[in-house]
Amino acid sequence: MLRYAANRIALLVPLVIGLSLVLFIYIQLIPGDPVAGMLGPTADPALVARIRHELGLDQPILVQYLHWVQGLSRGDLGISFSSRFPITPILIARIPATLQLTMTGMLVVILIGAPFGFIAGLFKDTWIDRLLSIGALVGLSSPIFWLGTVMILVFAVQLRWLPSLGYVAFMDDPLASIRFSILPSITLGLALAPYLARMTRAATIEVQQEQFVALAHAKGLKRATIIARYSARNAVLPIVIVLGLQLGRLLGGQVIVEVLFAWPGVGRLLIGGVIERDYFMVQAVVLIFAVIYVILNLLAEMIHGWLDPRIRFT
Amino acid sequence: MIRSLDWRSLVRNGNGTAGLIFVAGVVLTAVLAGAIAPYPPTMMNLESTFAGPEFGHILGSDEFGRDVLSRVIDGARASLAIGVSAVVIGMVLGGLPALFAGYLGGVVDLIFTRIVDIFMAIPALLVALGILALVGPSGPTVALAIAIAYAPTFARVIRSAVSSARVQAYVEASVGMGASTFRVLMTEILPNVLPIVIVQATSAIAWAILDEANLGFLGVGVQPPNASWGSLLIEGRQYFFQAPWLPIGAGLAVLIAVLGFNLLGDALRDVLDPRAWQREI
Amino acid sequence: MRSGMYSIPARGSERSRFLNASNPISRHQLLGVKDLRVSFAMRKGVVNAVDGVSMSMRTAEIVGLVGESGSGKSTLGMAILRLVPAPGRVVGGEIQFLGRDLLKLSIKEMRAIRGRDIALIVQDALAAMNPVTTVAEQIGEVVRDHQGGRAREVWERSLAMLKRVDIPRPKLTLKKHAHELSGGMQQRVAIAGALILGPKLLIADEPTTALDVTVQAQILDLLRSIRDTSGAAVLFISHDLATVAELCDRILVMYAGRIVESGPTVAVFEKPLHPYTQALLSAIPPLGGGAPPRFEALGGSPPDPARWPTGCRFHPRCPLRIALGSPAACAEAEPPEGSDDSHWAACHFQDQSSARWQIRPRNPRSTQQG
Repeated sequence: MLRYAANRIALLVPLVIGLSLVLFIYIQLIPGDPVAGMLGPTADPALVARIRHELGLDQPILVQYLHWVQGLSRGDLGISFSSRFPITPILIARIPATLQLTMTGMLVVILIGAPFGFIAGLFKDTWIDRLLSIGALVGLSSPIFWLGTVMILVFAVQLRWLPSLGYVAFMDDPLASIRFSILPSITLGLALAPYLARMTRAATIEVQQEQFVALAHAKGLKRATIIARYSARNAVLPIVIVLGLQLGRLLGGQVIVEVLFAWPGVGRLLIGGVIERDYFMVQAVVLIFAVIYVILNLLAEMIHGWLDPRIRFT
Repeated sequence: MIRSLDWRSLVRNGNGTAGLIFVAGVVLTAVLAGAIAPYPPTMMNLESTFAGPEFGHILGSDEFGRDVLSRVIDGARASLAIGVSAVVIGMVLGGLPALFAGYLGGVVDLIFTRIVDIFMAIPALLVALGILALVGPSGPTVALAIAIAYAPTFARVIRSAVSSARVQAYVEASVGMGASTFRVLMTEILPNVLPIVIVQATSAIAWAILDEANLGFLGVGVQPPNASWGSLLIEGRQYFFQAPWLPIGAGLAVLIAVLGFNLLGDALRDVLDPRAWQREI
Repeated sequence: MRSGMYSIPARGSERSRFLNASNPISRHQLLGVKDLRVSFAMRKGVVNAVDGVSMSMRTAEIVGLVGESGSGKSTLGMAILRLVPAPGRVVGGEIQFLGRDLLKLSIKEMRAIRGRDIALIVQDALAAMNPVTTVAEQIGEVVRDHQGGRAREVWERSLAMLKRVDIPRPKLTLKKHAHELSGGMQQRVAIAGALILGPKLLIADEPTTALDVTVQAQILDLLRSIRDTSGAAVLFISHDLATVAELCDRILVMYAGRIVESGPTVAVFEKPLHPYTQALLSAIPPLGGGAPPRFEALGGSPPDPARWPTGCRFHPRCPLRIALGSPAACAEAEPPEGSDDSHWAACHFQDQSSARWQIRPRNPRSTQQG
């Protein structure tokens, strides 16, 4: 198991290199010059040229790429266009808040999505299933900021139960930190739970049709035994993998939630970068999100392997 | 096989009927926007700034006194156009290479799959954001950004559909009889892949409309004075405490459109491709 | 080892006392199915998969239920357990088991009977086992859910059961998962799980079809030895006449949702009365390079279960009917059925039918013995 993990982590290195290349290609493929874009159409061409030179953008593409990768290998993500500060320390300061929200959001997704999807799957084609399925469809058709706005209005403005905006680091004050993270986490969770619920429903229905479930009934096992040890234990397997792949949506939704709730995470850094046309910053943040995605997927894969005895770690 | 798409079973599927009605409503609204909107969408009336819902302006008026309902109806054009064109462009960008990779198989397919995996590691919304950071937001660039962001997903789905269609016996037979690659792709592969493409595209239009709204919220959507649902929602949010009714219309419109395409996509999936849930990424 | 696949006469003398027809003590009725009907509400119409089946089984009897796929034989097996998969439903008849009509029991009472009194094994033992739990858990949970008991006791019982079904290194096997076992071992584990509570009836739905011939013979030996020692009856569902001939005391032939012939194995093999049974038997290649089949292969395709033929359901494919010049009775009247005590066939012209078989002896066993 440890060796398997080590192997998989070693495979991350080429993946990150691939990612950096992909990001780089994206930027090269897209028309427009980032410096000109940042300074606006009225900028002095001499100034544009000078900044391009300072940032090394006048060098051949390959040199630019190698330069960037060289920096990456030292943990250097480059220099922010707009603030002229190194990006790495800025990002590192923001990562804990982002990871906290990712984790709590994921927790809400699992706590809401998995049980409802499982129940819908068990009671396929009954009114319970129809109700839950329609609810899930409406949920995944609602814009996430819309959902968040409603949450703020109801729980912060009207009921005054929870703070609407802001963030407290967990290390500073765990209780306050949790209070501040409840609304963002629930918003993120509610928006993404319908996806998991739909996957769980489909996986449950699939498992219910397996022969071992029919045989469990033929053995006269208790309903509780069959649901827990047969249906749930086996439906979890595909769900873990799909959950990993769904993380992309979670991370995308996270950016919106961070902006909506003034959550000082990496996502807001990204939006700042986008609005200020700070393209090194955008590149760096997208890379960080992609790495988070890849690592969490690896985690999902290992959980899957641990849950499924048929998978050998070699 | 798309020729045998059974409209009756689509309509008999409750989701299908509801989806068709919603989608038809949204499409008609977009096409006939000029004719059915009660006022020109940009007509200002500074006397009725932030007027609440009232007779003649059932969704109220905005900061320039423009009729919100008319702006929502007008916004349907941009939102639907962005949603549909993003999916079409994305399908071409992702689907064409996937068609060849899946068909050729072997090393080409392997390399293609690895590359798509890498692209997939970047969440779609972030890809779109990054692109818009470079090219600046406007209707067409939003569509392009969403298209590029979705292309890897489409590529993955189409590649797996093609490679499973390829191994089917009759394709082999047709190659054996000396049919050209192009001919096999057009006559054997495409008809098998089309149902999956249609299912995928229908659901993807729903995501695209939603992501247009998301990008609008993040400030990189369609820019004023043009209206899309995304831009209406962000405008509405700025004056949330003065005029909380402003975003209601656009929010409902997004919900109806996205729900419609999702319902239709689900129903098409049931009718055309029962096991496709596994392919949903 | 037996010399061939068709060894009934050779084994006749050494057969267990349980199936000795003259021994009245062993002849308790265990199962009595009367006019059972199972329907599936499909989109294209109602499919009467089992359409008026009556049959009975006695304790310690091994009964073979043979027929083509789609004849309803597996549905009959599942109906006895009241586990017909949706959209199927038992729509009529009764299933008497130890003096109670299973169709009238509550779900809870039925659950108590499943696994404890009536057990099931199926063809694909791997698919039938929970892939994520160990053999110990899967056998143990049957004991726990029915009778409770301490973990240690349950474990000991499971271990003893694995030994009983001849699993080498049973302690190690208990810790394994289904996918780590060979096909034969999987089926032995499935049998162990089915027998752990000492059921009185074992429904075995093609349990050897997926196995190698040598493993197949071992599993058949095991089933026989279980019957001999525990007195459990076995309903052996199969499309393979060779295995049925080797194992079973009595044969039921099913066609189009009905039983068309019933009788002791030896009688049915030596003198099949129904043209369908004759066709099945003549499809078996003779052992020892005997004469090539003289009966033509059965023509036509199995009937559409949504629209069974009228009268005798076999009449559209029946070679005898053609030979007799298509008498009206075949298509118009349902042929009469007999009782399970005798050898009978549901054919209007069974005298002519058995005469035909006499004229053209195609019994593979006779060639083997000759």
